[in-house]
Amino acid sequence: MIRSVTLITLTLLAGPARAERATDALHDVVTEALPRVVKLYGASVGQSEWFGSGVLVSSDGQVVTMLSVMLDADRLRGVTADGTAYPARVVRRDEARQLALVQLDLAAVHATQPPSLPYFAPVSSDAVQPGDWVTVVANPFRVAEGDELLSVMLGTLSTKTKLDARRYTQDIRYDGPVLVVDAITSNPGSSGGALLTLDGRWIGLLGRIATSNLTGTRLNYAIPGEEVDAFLRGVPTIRSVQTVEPIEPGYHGIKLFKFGFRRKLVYVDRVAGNSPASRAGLRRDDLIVTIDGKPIRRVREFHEIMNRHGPGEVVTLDIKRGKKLITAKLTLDEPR
Amino acid sequence: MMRQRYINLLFGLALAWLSSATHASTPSGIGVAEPQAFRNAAARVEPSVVTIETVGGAMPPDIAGGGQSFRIADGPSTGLIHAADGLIITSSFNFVRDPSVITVTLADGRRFVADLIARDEIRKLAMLRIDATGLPVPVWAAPTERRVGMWSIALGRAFGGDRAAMSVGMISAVGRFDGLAVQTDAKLSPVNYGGPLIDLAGRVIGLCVPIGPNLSEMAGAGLYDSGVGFVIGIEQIRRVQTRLARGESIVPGKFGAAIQDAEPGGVRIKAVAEPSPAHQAGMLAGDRIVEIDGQPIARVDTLMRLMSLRAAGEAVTITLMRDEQRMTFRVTLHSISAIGPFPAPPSDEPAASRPSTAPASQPASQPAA
Repeated sequence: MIRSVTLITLTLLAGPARAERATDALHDVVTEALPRVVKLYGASVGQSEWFGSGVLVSSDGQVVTMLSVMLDADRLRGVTADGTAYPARVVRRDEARQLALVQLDLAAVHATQPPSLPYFAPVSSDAVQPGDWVTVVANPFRVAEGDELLSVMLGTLSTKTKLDARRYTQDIRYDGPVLVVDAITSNPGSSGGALLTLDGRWIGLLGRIATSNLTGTRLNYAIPGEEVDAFLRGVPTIRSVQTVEPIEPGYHGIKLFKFGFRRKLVYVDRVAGNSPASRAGLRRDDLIVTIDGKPIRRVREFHEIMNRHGPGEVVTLDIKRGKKLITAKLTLDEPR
Repeated sequence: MMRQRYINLLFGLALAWLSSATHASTPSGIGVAEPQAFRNAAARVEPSVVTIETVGGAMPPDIAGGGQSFRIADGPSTGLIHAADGLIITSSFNFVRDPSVITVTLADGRRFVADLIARDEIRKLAMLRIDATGLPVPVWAAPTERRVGMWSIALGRAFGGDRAAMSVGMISAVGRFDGLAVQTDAKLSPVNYGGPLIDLAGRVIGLCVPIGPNLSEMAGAGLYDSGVGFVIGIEQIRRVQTRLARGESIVPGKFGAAIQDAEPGGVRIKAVAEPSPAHQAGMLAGDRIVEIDGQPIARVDTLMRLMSLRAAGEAVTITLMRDEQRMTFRVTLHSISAIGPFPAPPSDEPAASRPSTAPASQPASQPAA
């Protein structure tokens, strides 16, 4: 798709001529990409109409975007790069991946000869590593209207991580891998836009506005290409079909403080005699800081995690005792 | 010096090699050289970039400003090894909750309980100590090597994982806030507050901190991800590292005067607190401040901004006009807690302008310095 062989190099190494060719190369990439992303308009909330972006995945007008109730509008429509507005409807949704497939009704506009639209095929995000340049094609703040071209941005892939985020007060159900970028994409309109490598491969679909549970800040993320590909091929989500076998929690022999100012922190109140905790050397007043490496901040979290471990399983606790951090391994007993 | 040259040379060679390699092998590989350079630079510093986790503490109010608002979250934060024998430098932002327990996890996976030994409220720094030795201290770039337009990469541990999350940008400006900070357009946020901003040779340019126009405790955090971010350079850290390592926190310094804009310029002292450095020095209500440390003071804003960078214990030279007489005072600043109340105003003054003991962090209600 991309014919340019220009290499963007560091300013140190690049003369003016090379810099100019680099600019051309990026121009070629985004020029190829722009007509493959559409503007979407959905249901209205009060005075304002929902809007977003979507990526064309077939020449007959199939579009992938992020799942949203706003897509269920009677008046859902998609606007292609030439400014044509097509009526659209959702044909498939995937709650686990938070993706939706939308069909633009090309025949509604072109009764006889519907156009063949340019489209993208997703590629695996294995194509990129943190530090790689990425480009973004989307319609942030719906600044592009009608046949105006979408906005393009340059950024870097910050990290690949698991999504741990919420919208308003509700956790986002998708807890799969995401690509976090340092371009600012967590804004109205960018959701459903394309995340591309610098040479124009489609590696991710921009997520909806979300707040990271880790940082409290807006998270600029994309659903990686392999998830989009699996969705398009109808591969069920393993995460969504797996059922957690109910297990009877193993016995650890730890009783926590329940009252007073220490209520929120996970302090050991009593250690039962001849229990996994006593054998591991736990004592009264030990503060449990982590379980299996994960920080534990509340008594509730301690119980939630311990209840997931059955008899015979080994649980590693980091304990703060005085100034020291002590690691204790508990092999859980049969329930008593 | 030799070592620095050596690193520069190695780095130059690596770049040249990368550049030729990408020319030869990846015809469509535009923009390959920089990402590899970013990763190489990050890999040099990552052994010194630690993960900080906290347990307990109070929830501060939502942070707002710059069109964004957010709550302090529960996730990990970032710090940087400062001394091989267990000193970690980070941002005070990571401890606004006054956590009960702090742990530090080194890049090699070892986890320690950390003591928060001191904060610098001006530079938004915090110093932690862990019981460890032989820690890898990163190489810092000399202040003279900073150039506007230089590549800069922010590293943060907020997402966990083996590798730090990175955001790439350039140095936007140097010498911000009277020389306090270096400005970058890399996206700084709780993802990397307390972590390093590095150059392409893998040297630390500065420590990422939230600093805002009014320098209050959480100001600047509202500007997160805005493309306007600040880091504290090594020369600023050296100014305070000994005090911080001794456990002395650094707090803004006050001389104890309620102030207002004056005609024909300058700042009128409305009232002098008692006790206060201003009172001790003999400054009086009605005096007009025209210079601090030789810098002309035209308005209350100018004075507040300049004073927000001065710590308790530092001395400042205040030049003022009393009637037609120019007078100069040298005063050692005190913390707000050591400044007494302002006397009641004369009865003909409107009640609204009555001076109070309102701290300088609330300039809208009562400018006081």
